[in-house]
Amino acid sequence: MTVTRFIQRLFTYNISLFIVNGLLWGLFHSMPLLLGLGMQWFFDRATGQSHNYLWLVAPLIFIALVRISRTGVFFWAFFKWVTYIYDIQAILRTNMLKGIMRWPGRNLPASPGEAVSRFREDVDEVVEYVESWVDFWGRFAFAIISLVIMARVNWQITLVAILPLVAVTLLNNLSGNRARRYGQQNREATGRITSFIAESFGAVQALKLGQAEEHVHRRFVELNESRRQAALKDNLFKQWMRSLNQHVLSICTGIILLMCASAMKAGQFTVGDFALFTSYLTNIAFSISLFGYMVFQHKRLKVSLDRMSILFRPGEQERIMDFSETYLFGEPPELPVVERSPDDQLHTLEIRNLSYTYPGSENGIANVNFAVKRGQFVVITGRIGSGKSTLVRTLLGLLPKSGGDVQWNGRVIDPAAFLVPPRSAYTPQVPRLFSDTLQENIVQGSPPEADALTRAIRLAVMEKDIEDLEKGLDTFVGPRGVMLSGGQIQRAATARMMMTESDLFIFDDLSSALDVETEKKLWERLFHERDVTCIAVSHRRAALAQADHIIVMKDGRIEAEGSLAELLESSIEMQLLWQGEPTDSSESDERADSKNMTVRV
Amino acid sequence: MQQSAKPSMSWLLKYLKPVRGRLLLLLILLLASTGAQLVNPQIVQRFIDTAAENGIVSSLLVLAGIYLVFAVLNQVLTVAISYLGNDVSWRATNQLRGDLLKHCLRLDMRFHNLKTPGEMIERIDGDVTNMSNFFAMFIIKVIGSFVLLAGILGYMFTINWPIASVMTLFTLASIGAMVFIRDLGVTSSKDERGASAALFGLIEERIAGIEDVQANGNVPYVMNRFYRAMRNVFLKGRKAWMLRVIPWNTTVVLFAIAVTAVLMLGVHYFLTKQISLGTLFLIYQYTQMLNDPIEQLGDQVQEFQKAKSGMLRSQELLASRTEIMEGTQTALPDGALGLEFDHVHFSYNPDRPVLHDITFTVRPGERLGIIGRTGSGKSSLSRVLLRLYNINSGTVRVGGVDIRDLKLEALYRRVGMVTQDVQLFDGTLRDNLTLFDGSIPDDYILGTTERLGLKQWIDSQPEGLDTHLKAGGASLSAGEAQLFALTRVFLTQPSLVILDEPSSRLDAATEAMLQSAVDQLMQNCTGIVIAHRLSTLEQVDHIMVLGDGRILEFGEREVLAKDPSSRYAQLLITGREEDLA
Repeated sequence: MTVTRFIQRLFTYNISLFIVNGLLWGLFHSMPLLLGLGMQWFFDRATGQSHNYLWLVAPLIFIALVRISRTGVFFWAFFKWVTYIYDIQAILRTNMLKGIMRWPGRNLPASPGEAVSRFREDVDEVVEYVESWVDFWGRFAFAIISLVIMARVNWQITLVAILPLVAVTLLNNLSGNRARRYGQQNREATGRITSFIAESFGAVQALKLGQAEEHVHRRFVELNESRRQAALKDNLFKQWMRSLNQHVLSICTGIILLMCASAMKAGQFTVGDFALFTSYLTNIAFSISLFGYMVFQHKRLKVSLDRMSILFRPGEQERIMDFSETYLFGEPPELPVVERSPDDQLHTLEIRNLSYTYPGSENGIANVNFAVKRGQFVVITGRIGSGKSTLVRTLLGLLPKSGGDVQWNGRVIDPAAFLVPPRSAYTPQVPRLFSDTLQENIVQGSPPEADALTRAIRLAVMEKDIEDLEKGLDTFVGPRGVMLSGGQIQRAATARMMMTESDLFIFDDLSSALDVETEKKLWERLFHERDVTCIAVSHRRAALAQADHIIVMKDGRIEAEGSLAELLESSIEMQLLWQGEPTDSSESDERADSKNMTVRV
Repeated sequence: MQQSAKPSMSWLLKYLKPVRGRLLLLLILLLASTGAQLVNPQIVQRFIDTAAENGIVSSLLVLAGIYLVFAVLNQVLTVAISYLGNDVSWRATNQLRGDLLKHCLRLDMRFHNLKTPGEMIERIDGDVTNMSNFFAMFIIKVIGSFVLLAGILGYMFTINWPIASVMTLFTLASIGAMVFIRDLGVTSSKDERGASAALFGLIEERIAGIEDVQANGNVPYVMNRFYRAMRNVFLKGRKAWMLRVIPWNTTVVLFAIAVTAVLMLGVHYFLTKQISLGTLFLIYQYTQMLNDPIEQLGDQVQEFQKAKSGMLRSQELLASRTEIMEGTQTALPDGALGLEFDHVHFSYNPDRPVLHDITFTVRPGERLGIIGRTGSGKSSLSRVLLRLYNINSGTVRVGGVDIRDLKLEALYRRVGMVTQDVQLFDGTLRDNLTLFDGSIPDDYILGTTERLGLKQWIDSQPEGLDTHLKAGGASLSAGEAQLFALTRVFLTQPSLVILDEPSSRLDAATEAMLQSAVDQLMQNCTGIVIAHRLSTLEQVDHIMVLGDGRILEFGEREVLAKDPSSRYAQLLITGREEDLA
């Protein structure tokens, strides 16, 4: 999206508020015209040899009234402006978050902490840009009208006042690239800082135990220092561009003075005119520097636009300015009820030639085929780095597949869009809870049905934990669920998945944080339920023993598959996994193994 | 109100101390620019009077030339002031940011359990940025404005004292009004900051957990929450903005009245021929000039309200104390460290005991395996041992020393823990392994990774240890991350190490490979192994079975294994049964 197209969309987004702001600020900025005229009026009367006090003072009263009513206009305009600011922020942030949520899985090319800086600094940059435009109309009107008034007094002198506009615009056009570069460096430095803060506090326990506070602090100081330098450069340049206009203009004022000198001598220029000129010139100076600055801002906006666009999937960048609803002025609507279509009920799920390769490497999965029928429990197993999680995540569309397809009841589907509740639900390898109450984490905003909640909790073997927690379901779980133990987090995530009552449940290594008995109970309860279909990644015996079908992954391919008994007989890899002790640790095996490590799960 | 403002100001002065040289220079520049501003109207006055008296053109030209020089000088000063002001502000706020980060990292886990990373971004960066103007410009501009005001008024007194008195009166009234209402927007600004921190906290957290959100169909729910948070920011923010501009507007109104009064007085003197037309114009110009510093002050009051809300929030943060009081002792015996729990009671909340009367001893070099169901208190045991929380009663001794008497640094230098939850940074592999400690040599890192079986993986990375690990380690499998955590701890050569279910995410084959390396690394230290999988415990000397925060069983592993009535033996049987199923 080009900057021009972006601002076009931006202005048309809430056009009425834009116009109202333009008009109100136009009024606000034009009012000094009356002040200038009032002053001219006053000084002309003063030089006019009249000695009537009231007659002389009338213009002053007029000026005072204009000034005071200007504050009234200001309040009104400011209220509209603040509303507009938040509306712009809201539309950009809404579109950005929506855009991020459309990425399949964790493929966003920015860390979460860094993304926050794009939600903050870059959005603010846009607001600043719009602010200039809102001010523009009034200032432009003021500049034109005052120039006309001045030209009628003395056109030669007026001409000198316009010249800097041209010079400044030209100068700013020349400096666009540097403006962009400095702006970008500043933004990037800020992104590194927000990202570092988020990660440090995400890992605070590890940092404490690793006695890394000092090292982290030192690194933070370094990052701060580089941001200081980037920001100073950026700001100095900005200021310089700004004051450059003023330099040019103050030189012009000097020249105007020179020209006035002869004009005044010739009696063509009164003291009142002079008052008018000086009153208007400072304002015009400000307006012209604003126009020059806007050219500069326009160039810089590209940096922010690019940085925000990155949060969108390739080809979707246009959607940064979708006209979505932001619900600033009213409560957002209730969540839509999930619709269950009988046609979409799971009969078979078929994975055909599914492949995925991690960018920049040869690792991934290749040509994986298997099928799951309704009611089956399929376990995917394999060593670390054999591609188990990659398989599941590709299947779910969390990684963009490079080949093959996924079929639901014989129909090819787009996994990322289709494999969600009520059809399928998923618990990741390291589930994340959010800083809310436990109940909110499990129900995720769905209407509170006590029965369904109790059932989900029972299936996740969590009822005793909830009893033990001081505030039960109302316990605040803290960021990422830190108030709970690892096992509790994993089971809360399981309960969250069960709560969706989906046809297919996908577990990525659910049991790794559970003890033998709890885990056993979980599988038992799950299989007690009728009509449950599961795909589980696991290397634990409790799961393998229950499986209807086991898929053994190695080097990103299916090494073997079948029932546990068959596999224990036929597959060496399965035996190794089952025993946990390599009975035959030949050279070649070890090398293969170390290669496996490079395959990301 | 006066009292509440004062401590926050003096507290911030501490951050200005290191930059006082620059501040002084800034002040000098500002005074110079003020001087230049005061001179300009006088040139214009002479210009008008000369022109009105039909003076010679050459003297008019000289005056115009001087005007030009001062105008340019003023512009240069403006840029210099802005640059220096920015520099001061970045330097001072960066220090504050650093202090906040360090302070927060030192706070105990009870604090961190309530704060999201996104919220911390707002508190450490956002709030501080909000007061950056305060640091750079507040003092300078306030002083500068007062100097300019004094200059203008002082000069006016030399021209016409009644007019000057009126001007002074109005100036004082404006300043008084501003001081009086300066705290108007502070509370609502603070609310605004809080709402915005909550919004960014929500955004960061949901982006970090995007897979959990997407694959469970919760995107609409997240958007709904986001809308609500945004609306809250809007309502709070609009209120704060509107309140903050009131002082500025008050000064504008007062100023309008002042200008009118002064000029009316001026007209009176002009009509009675006490002042010339040039002087009347000069008075007009000076009243115009008064506008600047007064508006400036109004602006600063607005900034002050913004800054003060940030200050209050930062101060709150800095005032929160960790409840973990450090001891002073630093000496621990050399070699492997013994461990002793003596009647330890612990709870997160007063009425829910988590650990109940725990007493046991591990001799230096021994290994203890702890088993128990989820929630039995295993992880809490390691947390209190590492003083992440304070115990309610009893004593924990490491190497014979009560951990409350030890400096935390001394404790952590010798005691390491590997947890299930592995956090990775957006940084190089080296940074991730050493946690930014630059003093650990590469050879040693590579040696340790080799023993733990991570070296080949590192070698396969395009730039070895310098490879950049992207966005929270999304490219690393959970198992690989676990190896990372092990390497991290063993790089510090601990004398007592706690492995909290270290192999939970590893498959059996990899775990077996790892086990020998861990055994080797643990040769010189005491080990506490918390495990779900019994196979992990085959190398330990003692076994402790925990249940509901109590020790259900404690003894030598071999003895317990042979005693069919022991819980450990029963668990072994459950495990085996499962094998056969």
